[in-house]
Amino acid sequence: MIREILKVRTQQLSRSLVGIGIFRSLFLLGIVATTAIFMFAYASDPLFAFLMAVAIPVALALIQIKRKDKLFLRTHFKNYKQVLWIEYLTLSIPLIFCLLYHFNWKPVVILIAGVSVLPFLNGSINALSINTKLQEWIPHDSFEWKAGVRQQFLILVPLWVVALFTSWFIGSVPIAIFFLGIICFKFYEESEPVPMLMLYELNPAKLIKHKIKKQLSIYFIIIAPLLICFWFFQYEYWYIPLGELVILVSLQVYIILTKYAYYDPGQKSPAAQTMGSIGFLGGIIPVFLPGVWALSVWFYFRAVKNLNDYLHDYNN
Amino acid sequence: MITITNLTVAYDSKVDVLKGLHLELQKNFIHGIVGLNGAGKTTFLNTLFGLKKAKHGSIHEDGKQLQKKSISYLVTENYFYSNITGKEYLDLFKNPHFDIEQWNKLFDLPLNKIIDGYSTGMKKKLALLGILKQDKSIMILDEPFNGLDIETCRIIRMILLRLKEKGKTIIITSHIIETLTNLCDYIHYLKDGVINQSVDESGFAQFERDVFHVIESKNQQTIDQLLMNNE
Repeated sequence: MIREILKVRTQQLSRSLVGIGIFRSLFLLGIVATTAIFMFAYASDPLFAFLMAVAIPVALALIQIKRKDKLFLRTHFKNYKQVLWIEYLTLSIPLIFCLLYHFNWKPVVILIAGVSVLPFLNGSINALSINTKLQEWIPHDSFEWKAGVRQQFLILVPLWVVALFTSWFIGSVPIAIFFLGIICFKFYEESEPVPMLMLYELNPAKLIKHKIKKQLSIYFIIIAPLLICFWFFQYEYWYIPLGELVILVSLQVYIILTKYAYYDPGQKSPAAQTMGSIGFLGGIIPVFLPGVWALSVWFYFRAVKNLNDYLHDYNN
Repeated sequence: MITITNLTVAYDSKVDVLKGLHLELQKNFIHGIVGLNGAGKTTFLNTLFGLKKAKHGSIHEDGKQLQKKSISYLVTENYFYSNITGKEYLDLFKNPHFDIEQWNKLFDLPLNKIIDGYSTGMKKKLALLGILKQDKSIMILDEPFNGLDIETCRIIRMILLRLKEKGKTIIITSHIIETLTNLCDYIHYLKDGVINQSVDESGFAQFERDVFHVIESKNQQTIDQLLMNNE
């Protein structure tokens, strides 16, 4: 049975790759290969090995909490926990291999122990759907933020609080600003239904400008207290967050343009997600940033053309 | 008057679903579109709303191209943005005169809960509240009664009749003829990609009898044969 499940997963994976096309598949495989090489090279470092052994189960735990096929597995398979365990273990094999190759036994034990706990996590997305005062402060029409903050509440708020209270450390605020910026990426994965697109009563170009303005305004409001603390404690390094903001603003503009360039009502476009991951590279490796800018220009025109199908009434 | 002329719509530019459809819809009335599964009802509505492009033909309102901004559209499968509450969804639509709390007394929705946890019926009710809040002059409702209980169906019927009195034009589809005959002023029968027949209230009874007669005479022999084989 386990073999059948793994076979189904392999078929799903190959179908997804076919769905996103050869070019994007190759690109994704390239990213996976680069990550694998990077992981292999650094697996000998005890600190890195330990961090990865903790980070992988945490990332998989988020998948376990959010995945929607848990009920299906529970009702169809007696030993569904074993199925889940095998799936997560399979995903962890590359790291286990790298760690074993460098004789890093302790992280392997931590990793396997962490993965073994995952099938027992039965939380659902509703458990993380938190209604807080924060949602009330977010403007009505910024539904991406309302949904995103609710979904990422347990990451966003602690990150912000820790950064604020440790802002006298030079690295704390820049790291928080970076991660807060990257988390916002996920807010733009999903395309809204047409009525939600039309509610602004704006033509495509104006809608895109409005969305970018709203996104950057909320982001700046969130990070403003952190920036003030940083400039207060680390005034001689005032330029660090500014440099970072150039990258993050570029990425946030890019992700909005990507979403609308591939807008498909009510869907998560695989193409947009792949292009989003290309943009993400620009955040980690700034050499790619000019590429992100060039793609942004291209996506702007593509987005205007794409949205025109839905918003042409507002062109006059 | 909404005038649809020679409307041809294809899937994947190959198979024509609507084949030169002509229809005139009088404004301020309730129009029912009825047809068998796969007849093209949803394609027709998608084209009216502009989600689907026509190969040929035109749709005009009082001589001008029909504007999407004057239409609200309830789709069959209601999709909402993930992780927002019912109230947050309704708050998106600007209408200062629409009192969400008062309207919700009719539907009893848990508006502070995330929509993802709503049942199909609850999602339909929420989508209807959204349509009502948008308050557009033309309302397109694709199978609005699917998945709803008797009380809600009756409430929606009452609302739609009152909206017609207030000057709205309502275009509604259903698989069930009786639903439409109890509500609509006109019924248009979509068959083989064209409007096969349009009737007003005076012709509903005859229309219903004709449709049922065609279906029964076409299938009675097959059913008898199959049941006989089973014995």
